[in-house]
Amino acid sequence: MCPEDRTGMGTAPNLSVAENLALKAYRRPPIGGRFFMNLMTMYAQARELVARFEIATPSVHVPARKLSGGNLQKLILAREVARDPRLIVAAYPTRGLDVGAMESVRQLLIRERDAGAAVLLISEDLEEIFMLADRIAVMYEGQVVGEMPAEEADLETVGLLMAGEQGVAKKEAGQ
Amino acid sequence: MGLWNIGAEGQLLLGAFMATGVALHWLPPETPRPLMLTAMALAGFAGGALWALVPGFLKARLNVNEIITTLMLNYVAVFWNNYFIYGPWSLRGFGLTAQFPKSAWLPRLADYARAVPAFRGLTAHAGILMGLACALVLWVVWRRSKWGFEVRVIGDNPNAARYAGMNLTRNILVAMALSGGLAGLAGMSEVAGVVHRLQERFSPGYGFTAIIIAWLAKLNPLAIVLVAYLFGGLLVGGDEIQPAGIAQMLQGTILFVVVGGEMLLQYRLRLERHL
Repeated sequence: MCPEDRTGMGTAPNLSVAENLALKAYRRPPIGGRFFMNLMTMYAQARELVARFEIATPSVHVPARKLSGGNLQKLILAREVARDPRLIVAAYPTRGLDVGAMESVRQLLIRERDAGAAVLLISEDLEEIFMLADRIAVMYEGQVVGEMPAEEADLETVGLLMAGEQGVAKKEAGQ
Repeated sequence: MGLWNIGAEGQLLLGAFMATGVALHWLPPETPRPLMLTAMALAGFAGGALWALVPGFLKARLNVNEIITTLMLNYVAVFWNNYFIYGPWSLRGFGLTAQFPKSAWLPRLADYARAVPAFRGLTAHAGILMGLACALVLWVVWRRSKWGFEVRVIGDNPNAARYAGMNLTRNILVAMALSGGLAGLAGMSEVAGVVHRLQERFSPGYGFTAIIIAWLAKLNPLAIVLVAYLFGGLLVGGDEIQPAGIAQMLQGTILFVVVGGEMLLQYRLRLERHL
């Protein structure tokens, strides 16, 4: 899962990049032993993830708060993806990122899909949804009001559903 | 989330209380010294830990502000001890208990002067070794263990910790118990190493000085050793200079300046003249 709030929930700002990358992996081997952590493995894994996901950081020892928003997002995705998840829930993964970072985050999600993971993308950026999604479901007032394959969706239908068009129709039928 | 234990003073008193109970009442005086001291240390640790677990439990379960509850329990602890040193354990109604049997005295470094000539005349007792060992163990646990990692994540961002599946309730309880237990151990070391009895005001506020030291050392257990040594010098020096209380005043001023100066590390002040 990739939480919507990078700093609020996704990372511990004063802990190092390596420690943030190990935020979930610390429990089990190879990093987590019975009581102690294998710091060398943690750093080695962190360096590998930093290289693989192109996280721009001077070293894995700097505190996570020194990273830019895009790199922080890459860090979070790297951490989640490294666990070979079958399902990725990405909430607003590109919000507030610059164009370059946005692109690499999107590429990453697509790569994971191609590798066989189910990706649930939650976003309000229609352009992004049309670019990435295979199926689109629209929510309005807490309910899924429409679902369709991406090829069949067009901006107008989705836009109307988002505005609660179906809700309006229901009300009329009720009267 | 920072978790604040302002109650080290009270936990120290309860640790001293439990150690006194072992030394005077719960174990016979002819108990061999190693056994006696170990039992006292364990009891002291347990006393401080239990005293800290009360606010720990309230914090973990009901989110009661631990700063207030730990602080308030200090005063309860004072009267708890006073009841015993004026009442059931009192020596003829004075504010102190009988002296511990020799088996309950922590050895002084000077006791080993025959084996280690360098220890000649050193009145420091074995408590200093306990303190050093605790600092070292704590540092290793804090930096290297899975539990230490969890504590650091929770301290930095509890939401991230929760999201990573860490158990906040359990960690708050364990951290509080450990903190209180170490304070209790300090209380044990003070009665077993220095005063050799429980008496009123045997601690000139060590538990409060501990907070200043921990903060000045940026919560790093190894740095605490150094800062504690320097503060020890300040306290001992304070006994010698007039007027009394200058040392405490310096302590307060140092903390005040350090905390106040923290901002200057983060920001640069610039004076601008607007015409």
